[in-house]
Amino acid sequence: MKFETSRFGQIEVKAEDIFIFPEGPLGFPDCTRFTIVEEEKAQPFGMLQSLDNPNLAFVVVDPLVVRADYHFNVTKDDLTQVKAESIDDLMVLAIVTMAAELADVTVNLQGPLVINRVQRIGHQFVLIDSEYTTREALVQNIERAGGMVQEKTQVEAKQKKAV
Amino acid sequence: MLILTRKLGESITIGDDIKIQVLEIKGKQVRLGIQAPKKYTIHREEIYQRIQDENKLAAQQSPLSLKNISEIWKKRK
Repeated sequence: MKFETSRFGQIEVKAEDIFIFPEGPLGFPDCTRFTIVEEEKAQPFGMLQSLDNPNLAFVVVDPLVVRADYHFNVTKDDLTQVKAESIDDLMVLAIVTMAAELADVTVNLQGPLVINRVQRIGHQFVLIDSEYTTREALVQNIERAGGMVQEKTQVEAKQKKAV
Repeated sequence: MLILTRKLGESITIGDDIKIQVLEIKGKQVRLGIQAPKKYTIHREEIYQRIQDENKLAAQQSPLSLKNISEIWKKRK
């Protein structure tokens, strides 16, 4: 299928590369279809491009690039939300907020995008009582992490107690 | 907006399956207990709002390119 985008022009996206966020990322309820555009020169960053709004794209990164020990708890209900059977089905991305200066670029570690890569369904999680914020400095954290990138985001399937 | 006055320990119910009870009142803080089916996600509004605001900010075009931030990471590798 062909889609118009403001950053990449017209792109061809295969059905298996389309991710559905049924509720959209928070604040964008009408943007439910996305694809990830990765370019060699931009590694490890990618663009989560909306297929419903040509102008909407988020810079995304594996949160482990920013924090080698990034983790949060996932409940069975959380898994159900993205129709996943196990945490092994999940892929986690963090949204990067760009700025005019590199030092001011931040990463949102409190609102990770959790994607079931088998069913290609995504949902933006809101981490409550989390040690992470929506504005973690990118450069300082990358320097601290020293490139220690683990293969998979550590997610624990613990049952969260009801609030 | 429907406005109700409740005393300590009193509740309101929404539909058949949601109950919100006033558990504690201390100065300007109110502690609420919420019973609701798991299908409802319950957030403190400010966290929800903060993530929504951050998304809107992140959706704006930037003068910095991905290549710029990518180089920082490659140097560290």
